[in-house]
Amino acid sequence: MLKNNMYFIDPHIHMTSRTTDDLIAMKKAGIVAVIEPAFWLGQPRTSVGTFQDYFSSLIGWERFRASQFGIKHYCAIGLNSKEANNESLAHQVMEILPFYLQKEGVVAIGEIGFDEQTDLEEKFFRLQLELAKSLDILVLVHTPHRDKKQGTLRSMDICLEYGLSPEKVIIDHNNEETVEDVLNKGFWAGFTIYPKTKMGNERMAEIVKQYGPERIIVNSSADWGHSDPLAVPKTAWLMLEKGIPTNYVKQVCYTNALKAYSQSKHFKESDWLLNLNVDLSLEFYAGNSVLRGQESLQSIQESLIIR
Amino acid sequence: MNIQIFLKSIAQQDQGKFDVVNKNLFNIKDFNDHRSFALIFNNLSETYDNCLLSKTELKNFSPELIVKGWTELELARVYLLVQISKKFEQKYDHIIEELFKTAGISELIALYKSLPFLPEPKKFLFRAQEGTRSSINLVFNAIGLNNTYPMNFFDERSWNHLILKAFFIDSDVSQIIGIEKRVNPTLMTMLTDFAHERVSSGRIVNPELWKLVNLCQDEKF
Repeated sequence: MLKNNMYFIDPHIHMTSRTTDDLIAMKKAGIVAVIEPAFWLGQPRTSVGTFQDYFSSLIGWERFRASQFGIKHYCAIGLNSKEANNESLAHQVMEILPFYLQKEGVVAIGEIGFDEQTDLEEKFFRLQLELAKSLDILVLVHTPHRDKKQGTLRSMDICLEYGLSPEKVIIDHNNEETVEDVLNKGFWAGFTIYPKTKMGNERMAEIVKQYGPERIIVNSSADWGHSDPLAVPKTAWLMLEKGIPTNYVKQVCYTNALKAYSQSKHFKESDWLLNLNVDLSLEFYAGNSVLRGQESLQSIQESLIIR
Repeated sequence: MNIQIFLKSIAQQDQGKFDVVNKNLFNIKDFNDHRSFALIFNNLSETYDNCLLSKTELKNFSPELIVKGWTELELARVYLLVQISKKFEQKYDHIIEELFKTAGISELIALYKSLPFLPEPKKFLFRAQEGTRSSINLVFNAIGLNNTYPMNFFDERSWNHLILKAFFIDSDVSQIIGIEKRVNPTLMTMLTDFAHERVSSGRIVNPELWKLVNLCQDEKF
């Protein structure tokens, strides 16, 4: 039985760096769909082939792996800000992006934007915004973790310069310093609940109390750092405890993400709604299951027995 | 009835959609224009649904054309691949190779299903074998089940590993074409060893396995 009968979308999580244990925990907590944006792998890539294989894994293996645990997986494809600084490699990546941006399950170009706000980062941010405009696809913007306020304002100005509609752009990793400008300019405001370096969920609750739920989207951005793939449900449950109305919580942890990304033809609520009442003890997806035999999700993690 | 006619007859059921397919291919002149090939192959999903072919559509074709479990989108994609092999006779294998490299799951499934219908299927042996190594069950099934390719082109080693893996991942082995025709002594040993392993570990053995082993024994090697 799901806690509070709620289910969630995590629209920013790097499943490539998470184990299958996380998928099981996410499923148990009520997460029904995730979006995995393309990012770097913790150290620089040195050839375009590794980008190609990574993009292929986002539309292939990660999508399949999540489906085996009852979670619908979507992704964003793009050249991230860090690796935009390797100019010749970045150009090669730009060449392969068009092969991936219209694939099934690809809902946006992302996560793109600024890291240190170098000229090269700006160059490739602009090139990808042009691509987004020409293909009419959504944009997921990563805002820098250092000099964030300036970087966020600059990112939004450039989006508007290209004539992108703010409702088709998600500005992510917001905090108390950026939220007002992002909301005032009409963009979607993503908040990453991530210990130490980004938002906390108590602060998130305060932000929702102050600004209301409109256009606010909670995510985990869980990756290979100390992060929590249950950040979205935990934030929802905490907000309820703090007296935030249920419909507000539902908006920031599900409906707003649904609205934003349903603007992509590859993202539909009906994709996962049909799965919701499946008995957790008998999981079969697409005809086969990595859960061979009849083990329930419950027993796999809690038992001392491995069989 | 050959595959071209069959595919065309189904694809043509909606002439408007069909014209889009042909027009897009007609516009590609350069066999090196991999981006365009990738886009027209992928973007067939805008015109065709990934829904199973209906019984009425299926009853019109001859038994040797195995399209069981195909969807409209897969059919359109296979049709396109066959058309590519006709238009670019000298280079089609190179074009299709490139499609494999950036294919998503549904595209890979269509690629594997198309292999028996291409002019020289042997050219794609590596890809077919690679498909049987996939951990994505949907992809394994696309080459392993309801597909004549392994029966006709796999050597004994590859064939035996296909069968063994199918049992291992609980695929529906009754849908492997030629499973009874290509029994061999090595396969029998592999399967009985596997069955004993399962029994010792307290796991179930698929009764289909014993059926197959009995068939091997009946063959009096």
